[in-house]
Parts: sequence; structure tokens; C-alpha cells
Amino acid sequence: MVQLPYVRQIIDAQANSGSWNMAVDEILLQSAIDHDVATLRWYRWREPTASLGYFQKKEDLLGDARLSQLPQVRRLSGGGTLVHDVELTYSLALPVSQRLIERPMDLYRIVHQAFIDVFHKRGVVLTLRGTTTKHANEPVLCFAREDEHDLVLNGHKVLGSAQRRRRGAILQHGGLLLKASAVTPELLGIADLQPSADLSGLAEQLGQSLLREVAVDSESGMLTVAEEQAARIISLVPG
Amino acid sequence: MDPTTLKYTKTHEWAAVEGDVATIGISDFAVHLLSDLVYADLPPIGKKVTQGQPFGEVESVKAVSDVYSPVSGEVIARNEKLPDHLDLLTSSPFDSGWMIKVRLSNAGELSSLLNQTSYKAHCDAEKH
Repeated sequence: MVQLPYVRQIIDAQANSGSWNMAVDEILLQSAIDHDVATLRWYRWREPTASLGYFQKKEDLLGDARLSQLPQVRRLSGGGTLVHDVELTYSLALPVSQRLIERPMDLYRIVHQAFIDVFHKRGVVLTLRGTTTKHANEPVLCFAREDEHDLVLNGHKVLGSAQRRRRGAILQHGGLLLKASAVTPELLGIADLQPSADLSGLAEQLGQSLLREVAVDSESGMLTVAEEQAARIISLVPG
Repeated sequence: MDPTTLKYTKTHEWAAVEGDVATIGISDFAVHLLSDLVYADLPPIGKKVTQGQPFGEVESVKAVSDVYSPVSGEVIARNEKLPDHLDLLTSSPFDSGWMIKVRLSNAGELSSLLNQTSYKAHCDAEKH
């Protein structure tokens, strides 16, 4: 597999608002397009937040009182609504120059394999869902939908990812469900399904595993001043 | 539309030009790359589009992607059937799967587009 020459890794020090989290992902995609920068980011959510797929209508949430009362943001990627709560989220922004992304669907397998490997070492057996059946009317909640790239634990989806492609660059992001949210208790997380699972230091170890696979060189970094300013502006725009 | 006579972009859109109107769609190669399409967002009639800039967006099962205009001008028609029949993109990408018609504002831009031979070479290079 062709490797990326250099990836900047950002692990957010604190949980942030949904609008900030999505704004930073958008800026990372923009930096990939404008400045040829590849970034892997890990982040968490300050409060339970509903994120809508790019084309979803806000009205879609009105039928579910649980979702309509949450802070709402819009993702750049498609798919259904996600409730982000006790979750570790990643985003990977890759510029067009990176040969790794010639087959964008491969990126799901590569990233999800890193999750499988790390959890395997922790005694948690995550598996790719594999084949799926599509339904004519997909449920509003993304974690209630099925995709072949989903990672499942005991039949429950615990990681799903989605992509945004712009000018040849790709943003892929996905959320790892650590524990069920009180808002959507039916969607179980790893701690619910396997209470003995060690969930400490996950971002560091997952980052290490993934970067060992995809990057020749990497280092921990942070947003540039310009990126931070741009994200601040975007985060103020209603989704 | 005969794919051999169309003009193409490196971002996989095609244009069929008749007089000062270009019919625009995305190539079979793009449809294959995107795989299962679930949504297409097309611009309204009257919207000004610019060569190389996004005019619409398509969502496949696992990605949202921009679609770029091969030409500059004004949208004079859109394929109203398409959003509800995305299978047309798969079954007939160069004909019934057209997206918009644009009245050209700068016919000189057409010279920057690829012919089918050059476009195929570009696709082959992307595959490797």
C-alpha cells in the first residue's frame, strides 16, 4: 500500500461544542485542498449533540422529541442523524496529492482495521459488518442504519464512518460509540456491551496504530492560527 | 449523446455543446467511482455557474461529492426527473442521466476541455 509522506495528528485536549467540532473538520478539509496538508484528528463532544447528514432536513428530527431538543449541527458528510455523546470521534483529511486515496472506499477498510487491531489487543473483538440489506426508508438515526463498513460488537454497530470529497481531497470522519447516550439508550456502546473493556488512552493508541499503517512520518500538532480563526468564523454560522 | 463527441473535465463531468447551449452530466467513470447514489442536488434555473466551480452535489451511500461545471454561463434547464430516478445516472449517464443545460457565456472556455481520448487517458492514469 502507498503510504502518506507526512500526517499531522491533532488530539483535542478537551471536549468541544458540536459547531466547533464540525467547523474544525471543514477547515481540515480546506487545508488539505489549499495547502496539501494531511491531518488525523481525535475529538470529543461537550454535550449530547445531534448532527444531521449533509442533505438531511431539520424537519426530519421533529418527529423525534429526543433529537429535536438537542443542539444541532450539520456534517459535511451524508447519511442519517447521529447523536454524539459518550463518543470518540476521528477525522482524517487527505489532500488530492496522496496516492492512498485513489480508491476512496479503501480508506474505510484501512481506518476501521486500525480500530479492529487496537481493540483486539484489549480483548474486544470488533468485526466488519460485511454484507447488508438496504431498506427503502432508512431510519433517521445513522447508528440504526447498516453499512458493510460498519464495525460491530456482538451485532451492535459501534463505529460508522462517512466521507466528503471535494476537489479530489477527502474528509473521512466517524464516531466510536463508547457508551450509550441517555438520549438514545437503545444504541449501546462498547462499555455497555463489554463492561470489562479498557477504554483508556484510546486516541493515542488508535492514532499510533493507524499512522504506523498509513504514514511514513507523523507528528502531533495543533491547528495553525489561521485555521483556528477560520474555524471560529465557520462555527458561528448556523448549520 | 455520443460519448466520443463530448467534451470532458478532469473532475469527470461531460458537456455536449449545441449552438450556445451545453448539456452537462457526469461520466460513467464518475458514476462507477461514486457507486450507489442516493441524492442529487441541482442548481435552480437562472443560476450562474462558473467553469471549474461546483454547481451541484451528489451523495452516494458513503460520500458526498461536489460536481463541477465544465463551462460558465446560466442554467436554463435541469433534469427534473433525476433526483427521483438516480438510476438514470447508472443506466444512461450520457443521455437520460444529464443534469443541467447551461447557456454559455464564454464559448472560448470549451478549448480547455478534454476530448474523449484525452479523458480516457486521464481516467487510466487515475486508476494506477
